[in-house]
Amino acid sequence: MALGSSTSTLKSDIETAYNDAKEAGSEDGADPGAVIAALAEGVAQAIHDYFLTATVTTEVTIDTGQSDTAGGSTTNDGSGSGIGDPDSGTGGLT
Amino acid sequence: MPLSAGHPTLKDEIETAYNDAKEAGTEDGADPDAIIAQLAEDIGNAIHKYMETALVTTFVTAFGGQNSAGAPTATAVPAAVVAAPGTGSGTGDASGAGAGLAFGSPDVNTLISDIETANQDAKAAGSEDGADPGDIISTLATGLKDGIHKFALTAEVTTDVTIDAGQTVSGYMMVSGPSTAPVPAATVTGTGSGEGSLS
Repeated sequence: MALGSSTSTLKSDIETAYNDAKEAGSEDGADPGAVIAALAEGVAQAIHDYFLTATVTTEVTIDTGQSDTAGGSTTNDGSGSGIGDPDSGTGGLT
Repeated sequence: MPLSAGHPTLKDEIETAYNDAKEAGTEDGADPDAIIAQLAEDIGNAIHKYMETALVTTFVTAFGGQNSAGAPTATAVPAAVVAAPGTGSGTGDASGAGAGLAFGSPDVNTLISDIETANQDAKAAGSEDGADPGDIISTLATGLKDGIHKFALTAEVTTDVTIDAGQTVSGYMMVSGPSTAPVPAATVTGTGSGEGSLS
């Protein structure tokens, strides 16, 4: 799952955090500090959960000079690709 | 430092931003626009700082195809090629060697502006007669989501790459009596770098 697939959850989690704050703030004797702390926790958790779903893609350059077992080494750069996808177990963001 | 370590700081900084806005709002002659602008800047900077704490890991495919030379025993044909693809890994930790995630200043400013706009829109909607708090919160959440998502996609990813040993190197030939014979070879561990993005 990439970030684009997580935006609806991000939105709903932020919305829930604000609605919870609204509800808590409307109660008698509500503690503004506690309401704000809970709101901040909810928003931060929403962002954290969203960002951990990111997929990373890279273009790779392999340095010239990679040695081989015969004693030689490469004379030009190589190329490759990188993928970090938490869903496929290939990495990503942590 | 991984995101799990940046997460508590994100929460603390968002909390501080809200508390600062609350305090500023209780002062005589408070300027709501200035308060929202400061709130947006503080939250935007907190999100920026948090996202840059990410550790990046990738699975790397090395395509092969590089030319090789210099094998002392390749007395007949001294040139070879990395003939097979290989594997490797990439890592990025912005708190370490510099690889990792980075964001441009213009993109941070756009994030701050988007957060400010979302809050301004919520303020304007809330000042209307018969305003529905649920609708206002939903619109605010959408604005914040859009700003955060747009910002996340601007990340510039860099990784330090290690290429695993074992790719076949073909082409070296040695003089063997009256004829020639192949010199078997395979790559040893290599290094490289990666550049990319998030999706």
